[in-house]
Amino acid sequence: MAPRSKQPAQRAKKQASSFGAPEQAQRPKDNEKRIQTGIQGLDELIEGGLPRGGVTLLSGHCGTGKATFATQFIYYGAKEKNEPGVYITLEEEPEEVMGDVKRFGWDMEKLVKDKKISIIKPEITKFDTLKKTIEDEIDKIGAKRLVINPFGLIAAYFANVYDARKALASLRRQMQKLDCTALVVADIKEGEQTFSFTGYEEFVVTGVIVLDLAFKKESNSYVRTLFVRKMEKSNHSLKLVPLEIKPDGLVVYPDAEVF
Amino acid sequence: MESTTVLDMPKIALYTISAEEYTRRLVDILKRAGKGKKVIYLTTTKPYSQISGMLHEAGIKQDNIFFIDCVSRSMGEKSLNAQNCVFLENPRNLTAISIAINESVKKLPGKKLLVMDSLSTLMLYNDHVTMGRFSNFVINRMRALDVDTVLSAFEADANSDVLKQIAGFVDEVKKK
Ligand SMILES: Nc1ncnc2c1ncn2[C@@H]1O[C@H](COP(=O)(O)OP(=O)(O)OP(=O)(O)O)[C@@H](O)[C@H]1O
Ligand SMILES: [Mg+2]
Repeated sequence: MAPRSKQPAQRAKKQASSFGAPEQAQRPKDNEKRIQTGIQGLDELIEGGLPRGGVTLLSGHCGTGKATFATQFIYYGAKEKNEPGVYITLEEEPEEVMGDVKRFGWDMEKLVKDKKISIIKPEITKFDTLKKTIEDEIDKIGAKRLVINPFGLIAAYFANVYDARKALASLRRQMQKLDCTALVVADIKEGEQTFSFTGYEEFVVTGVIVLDLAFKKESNSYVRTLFVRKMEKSNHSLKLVPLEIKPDGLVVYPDAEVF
Repeated sequence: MESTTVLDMPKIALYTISAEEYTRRLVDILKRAGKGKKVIYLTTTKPYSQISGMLHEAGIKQDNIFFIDCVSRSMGEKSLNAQNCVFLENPRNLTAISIAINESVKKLPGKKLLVMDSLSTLMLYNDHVTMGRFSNFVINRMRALDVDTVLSAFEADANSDVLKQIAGFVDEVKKK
């Protein structure tokens, strides 16, 4: 007869591993190959973080938290991981980017002053020029993280979708070369079935994370959700997980469920 | 062998309680089942202040009780602030409830008891498929985290499809 006291532990262990995120997600083997997102609860869905040196698309309809997520990614890297970050803002002014997140207690100005974060708003004239600007900014502060918000403006700049796709592919090669991990924001129009502006960006990138708002008729309101559509080299979870915007930023709840 | 396993399992019980005696009976159950444990009390029937008052009258110390209140805010109460209570918007949002249960259970150390007061209220707003999914989630989750659980409902609902289904998931069904 098995010792009685051992049974609950064994049972709990067994059930915990068969629940929620894939088993491997709990024990990333290649930690140095992962970049922690800084979004509480997310990394365990993707084997510890974003694949290092990759480009991940952050897709979502309006108001789903893309900008907050992107800023949190940059802020966390600079503040907690000593991984400086470049934020390319194509619509908002840098002051707005910094101002929007003051409520979360994130002092971006300080990190900008300390050269841990660089926020720039370049003109889009030629993609090659933009790539050069990005590379210069990354070099200046030794950036390990990059955000482009929103990529749709760059995609829209090209005459055809193939050039837009090629541009993203070249950004991916550039990131790999520079050992910098990028998060590229993609706005999705309501009702679109794609994850990006042209509908091709998602094929080129390393990963796709989708933020959304699900309508619930019972409460006559929307619930924030996140789901990892794709993540190369990762046995990632496919679960639709709830997300909340808390007073100190985005939190993902991998153990909870969307009802 | 069998009986040993059963003894060690967290106990998940469904209580159906008459509406007139409802809260008083539930307080009795809490008194017994919560002995020596941290208690997470989810209320969708009465505001935290009222439940807390009743527990106080019954002489139950509340240092070891954490409340999830789904009522006060939907009643329009503004200045809600209590150290041992989280206030959710309304009892309709099962996603928010699942998050609150999970987070409070994970936060508290030691042996725990979850009291869900009550399934009847949640059934008012959610269809039986959703209720089935939700109850199943709570039960599986509490088993995995080794938390004893009391699910309560009004006796009048005892024959509903939802409760009949839940009866199949739990370890025991009791009429109070
Ligand atoms: N301090 C806060 N607390 C809670 N929720 C907030 C807070 N600040 C913003 N939000 C929510 O986040 C939403 C906007 O977030 P964000 O700007 O990150 O989204 P977005 O996806 O970039 O939006 P858009 O596509 O319109 O640019 C707001 O509409 C609001 O619902
Ligand atoms: Mg935005």
